[in-house]
Amino acid sequence: MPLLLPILLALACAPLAYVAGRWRPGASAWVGASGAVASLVALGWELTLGPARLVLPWAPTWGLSLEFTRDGLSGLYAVMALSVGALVVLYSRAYLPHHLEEKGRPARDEVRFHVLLLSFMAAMVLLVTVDDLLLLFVALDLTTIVSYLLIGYDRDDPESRAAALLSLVLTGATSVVFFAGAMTLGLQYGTFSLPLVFERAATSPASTGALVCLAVGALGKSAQVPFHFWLPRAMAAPTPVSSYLHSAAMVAAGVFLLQRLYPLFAPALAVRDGLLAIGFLSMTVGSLLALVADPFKRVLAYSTIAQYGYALVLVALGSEGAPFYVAAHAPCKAALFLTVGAVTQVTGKKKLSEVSGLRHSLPVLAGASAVAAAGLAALPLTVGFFKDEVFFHALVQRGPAFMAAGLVGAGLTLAYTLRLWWGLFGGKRQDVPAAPRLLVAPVVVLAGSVLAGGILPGLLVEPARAAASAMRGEPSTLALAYHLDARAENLLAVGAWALGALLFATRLAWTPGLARVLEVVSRFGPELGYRRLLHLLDRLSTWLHELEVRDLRDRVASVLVPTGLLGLTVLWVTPLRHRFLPGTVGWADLTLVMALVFASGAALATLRARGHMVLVLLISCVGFSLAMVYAFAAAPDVALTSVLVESVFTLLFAGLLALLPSRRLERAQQEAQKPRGRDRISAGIAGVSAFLLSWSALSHLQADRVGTQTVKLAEVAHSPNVVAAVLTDFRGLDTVGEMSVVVAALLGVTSLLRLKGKR
Amino acid sequence: MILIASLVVGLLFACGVRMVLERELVRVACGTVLLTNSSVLLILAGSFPERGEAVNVQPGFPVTDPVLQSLALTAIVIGFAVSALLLTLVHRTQRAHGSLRTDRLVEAELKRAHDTGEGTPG
Repeated sequence: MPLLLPILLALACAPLAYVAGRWRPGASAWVGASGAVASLVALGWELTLGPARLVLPWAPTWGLSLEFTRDGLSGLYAVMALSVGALVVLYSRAYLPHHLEEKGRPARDEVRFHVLLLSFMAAMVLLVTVDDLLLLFVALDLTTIVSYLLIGYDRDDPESRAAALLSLVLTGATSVVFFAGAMTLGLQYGTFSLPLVFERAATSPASTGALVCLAVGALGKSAQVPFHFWLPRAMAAPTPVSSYLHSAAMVAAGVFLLQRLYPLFAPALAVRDGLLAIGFLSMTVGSLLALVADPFKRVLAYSTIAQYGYALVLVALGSEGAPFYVAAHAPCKAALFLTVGAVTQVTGKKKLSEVSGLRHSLPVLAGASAVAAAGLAALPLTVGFFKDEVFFHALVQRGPAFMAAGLVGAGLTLAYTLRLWWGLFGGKRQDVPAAPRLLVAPVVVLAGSVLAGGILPGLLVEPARAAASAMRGEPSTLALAYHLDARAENLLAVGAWALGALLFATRLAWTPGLARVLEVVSRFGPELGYRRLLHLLDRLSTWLHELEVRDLRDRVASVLVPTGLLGLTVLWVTPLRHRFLPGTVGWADLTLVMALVFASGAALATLRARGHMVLVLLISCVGFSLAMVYAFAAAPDVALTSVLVESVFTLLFAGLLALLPSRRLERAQQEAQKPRGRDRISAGIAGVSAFLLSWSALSHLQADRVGTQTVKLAEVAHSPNVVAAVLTDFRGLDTVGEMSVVVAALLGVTSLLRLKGKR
Repeated sequence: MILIASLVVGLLFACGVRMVLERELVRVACGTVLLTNSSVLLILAGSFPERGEAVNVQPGFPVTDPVLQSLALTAIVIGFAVSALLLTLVHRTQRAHGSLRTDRLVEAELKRAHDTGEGTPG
């Protein structure tokens, strides 16, 4: 199983880091990062072997299997997740101690962070490697859960907890929608295996509803409009988390899903048009908000929304550049996040308006982040240039309107990137202490990769083509090279730079106005709807809770009545409902029926019993009548046990009554109020439901019983009494369990009776 | 026979629920006993239509389903143990709170939550 090697290595990182962290807190990051690098090496070796699939049987009776794939798409995303993951873990080694000190938490909490981050990496690697709709959902939810823990890492901070909850609710809810889509497809095609689904979808296209469900799951994850508002809130997390979530993991997962499932979306033009519109909308909303945001991390968060809007547009257009776009964006965004994290740590400031001119104190960081910013803004000699080239290339084929939208989008990107970088490093000089080397090194490495990709684009052609062909299911002719001529892509790029530079130069003129407009608009955004909904749900829950706890009886009824109604509903909707058999009654059954009538009479009489002693006697009367029933029903063992138990129980009950002070008993009897009407109704519903369910069950007894087999086997067990054989031989474990329940109960009884005093 | 047996099961269950919904703990305990009885009856009712011999089985003669009998036995014994525990709990509760009424218990619970500053959840 060589295909599993990188996954297993990635999964092993978190436990290994935990063990190392128990030994020495500082070691966990290094161990985790080396594990990630080892996994990366294994992955690189495997990618040289070419595409492959691995199918492990899971639950064959239900047609479920664990399916993994190794193709260009999974390779590209896994390399991204592992390499950025390793760098971010190392960075957090330098970042976390300071952060924890600031929050007043012990230094050993650092290990928890590394373990969570590495688990996230493993979940991401799993997500990109699986080749099965159900496993996709499982891995998607794994990333959701770990991201909840990561975003809420500062658990003492209410804002951080609220942000974590928001991201959990939003991405969790959308991934449930994804699950609905996956189930629909699974039922439609009779399989969850992706290659088979794609094959069958070629002849009968997937239903629009299922595709929309899948798309909603992906859009929620990728923080696209209208689900975008969780992402800026998630900035409450420590910076390494934001860096990882935004560049190579969480947010990338949504777009990855769309790329993985692209063959399903390819024929559905309406869905693709919808995705296109959402992509352009996210681009606009994200870019505009990034232009006015003041905290640096928010600028980058809005930029992520916008950039994944681009990626969404590329997927919707079916462009071969879509996987490459995400991959080229990852190092730039990760580097910028790590930069602002370092700036915050050195200066203690979080807003653009509070810092300036840091290039003098942090020259290496300024240089490296300039490269990363250039990459994000798609300037030449960086890998980012090609991400915009493939973007423009896809738009040119769709006509002038798309080209204009792309031009504006790219111009806005340049403007906000310039604004961010200049705000941090340009302007009036501020002197701050130098940044720790481990905080700067990952940024330099990422910037180096951005530069290398821009200078030697030939190296990237092969992986980009492999990913594109895995996404579209056909060979790719994607080309990445500089062309010094007046082709439309180049003109658009130059136009975008000019627009960006113009916007940046005139920023003081329009920023305040835009900020005001956006503030007004965002007040009516989807976040408002979310808050309203949450508030309503909260009130509903409080109301139900109040209703439930006011009286213990309502608590009991609130379990019994819905269960009874559920049982009745089940009977109503299942096709069994015409098969209630009344059964036959002969003279031989007379004694049995009489005993049953006796039991019922005694049970009804308990409701009317006034004194406690009468009540106890009536209850034991029910028990003894039932023992009679069992005797007439030719079950002597049960009847004997029943008589025995009933006698002991009656004695026990009478003893209890003797222990309770009679004064209190009398008062309790007097105070016991008349039954409320709704108690009668509850009892009625429960009784009718129990009656109908048992009637239906007894009417459907199989003619071929286990009992007949047991009777034959009893001879082998050398027991003339079949029941004894069943209890001791065939269901011996049950009996052992029963004995332990009895022993535990008796221990409880004795210890409770021995307790002295009031408490 | 099936109809009669399931009617009695339903009746015992309804009486049990009715008792459990009473305000007084002794009656609540009695109610659970009735619920246990109704479920044991349901298990064994599966063998009513074709009951026969239970012990000394002869080939060719009808046999009461031994599996159902053993299940019923298990249910009876466990039901007894749990009811005994419940009765002792009733006794303990009365000692601790000085009352046998459920509404008093709720009041005491709320009061304690209030006193310790936890407040009601929500």
